[in-house]
Amino acid sequence: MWEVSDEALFAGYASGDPEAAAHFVERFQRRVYGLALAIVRVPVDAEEVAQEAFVRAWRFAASFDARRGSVAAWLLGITRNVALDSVRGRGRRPEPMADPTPEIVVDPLDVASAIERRADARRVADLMRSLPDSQRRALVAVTLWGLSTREVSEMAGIPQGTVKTRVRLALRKLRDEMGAPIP
Amino acid sequence: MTPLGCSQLRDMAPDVALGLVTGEERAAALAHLEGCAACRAEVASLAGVADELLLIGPEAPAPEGFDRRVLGRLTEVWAAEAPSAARRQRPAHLHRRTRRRPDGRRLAVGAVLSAAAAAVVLVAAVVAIRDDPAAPTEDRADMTTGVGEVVGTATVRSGDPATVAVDVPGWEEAVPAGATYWLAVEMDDGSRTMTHIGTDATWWKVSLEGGADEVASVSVLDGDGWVWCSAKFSS
Repeated sequence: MWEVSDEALFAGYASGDPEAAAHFVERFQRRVYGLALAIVRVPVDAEEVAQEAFVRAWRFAASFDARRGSVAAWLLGITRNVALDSVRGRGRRPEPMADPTPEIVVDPLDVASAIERRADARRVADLMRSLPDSQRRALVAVTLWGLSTREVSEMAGIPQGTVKTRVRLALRKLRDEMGAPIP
Repeated sequence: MTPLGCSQLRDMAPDVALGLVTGEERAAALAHLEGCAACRAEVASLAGVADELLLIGPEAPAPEGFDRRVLGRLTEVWAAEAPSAARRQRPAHLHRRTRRRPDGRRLAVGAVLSAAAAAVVLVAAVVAIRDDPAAPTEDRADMTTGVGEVVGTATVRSGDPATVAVDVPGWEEAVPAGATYWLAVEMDDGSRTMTHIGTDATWWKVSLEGGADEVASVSVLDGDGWVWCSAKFSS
């Protein structure tokens, strides 16, 4: 009976239905916790961030608009914001858990593997593959890994301005390829 | 700080959408976005793409008992914020499809919500009688941030005096505790009244010297005068 769409499940979660909430948390906890851990890098902090993300998703449920994106994307956006607030609040964080090789901040093979398990990620994954490698890596670093452009610059050994340019070009190209947003 | 123009804002729009700007840059961007619908749409569209990008993000098994702890925390929040929950709107475009079970927990939450709803109705009735026996009119608008995120509601009610009530769920956790914030009500004639608000509440109400139909906008400002969220009212 819980093979319902993300949106239907979220409706139950938003209404405060404990049973729907349990299934909602179960469905998304791996992605929420995984993103939180990628950004804050400390498991105990990642759990705090992930918990807070679920609470905020309930508090701000009324602002979710299905025309603008999926429940998963919206929930992960909240998670990223909470994680970045946590990192900024502490002022510093441990070194990234990812490959420390300059400029390679995420293993593309890992992303590809994750994509295979997620139907909702195929479109953006395909578009990401169409980006120049340098732009894709810069964009992944600041979104999925939560790095600042200065951190990416230091890790990759390239000017911060170059990182900013790559990120801006990449995000605009993705937006243009995805089509016009709902006003 | 020099106000930003549209071309400058467009240049930095991806940075704003991704949260890569400094506090000063963000404040300047929000100040511009407050009065520029075109740039708001630009930033919102880029922010939507940034969110979608997270769909290919990493995943990891949550720690043992994580789901139980989240649900425990949610239960506490539901109990603490039941009055606010009773007033909340359902998410846009969603219709309830999950089955409501008459088990103990559900009934307990339902009882709290029902009691809260009754309390809200009672309080609303008392306020209405006290403010304006002649059935006051009410106008509502969403409180939105510079990037278009709806974070609460502003309600302007006619009466003697007319009042503005602002409800921002989650406010106390979204801002630094003890920081200085102001509730600004701007009227059609350009006059503005400022009321200091604390970080330990999520709902405020202020009385107006002018009429309810003269309210142009309601904003929450930080201590430096930058807009945190705002709502506009048509004259």
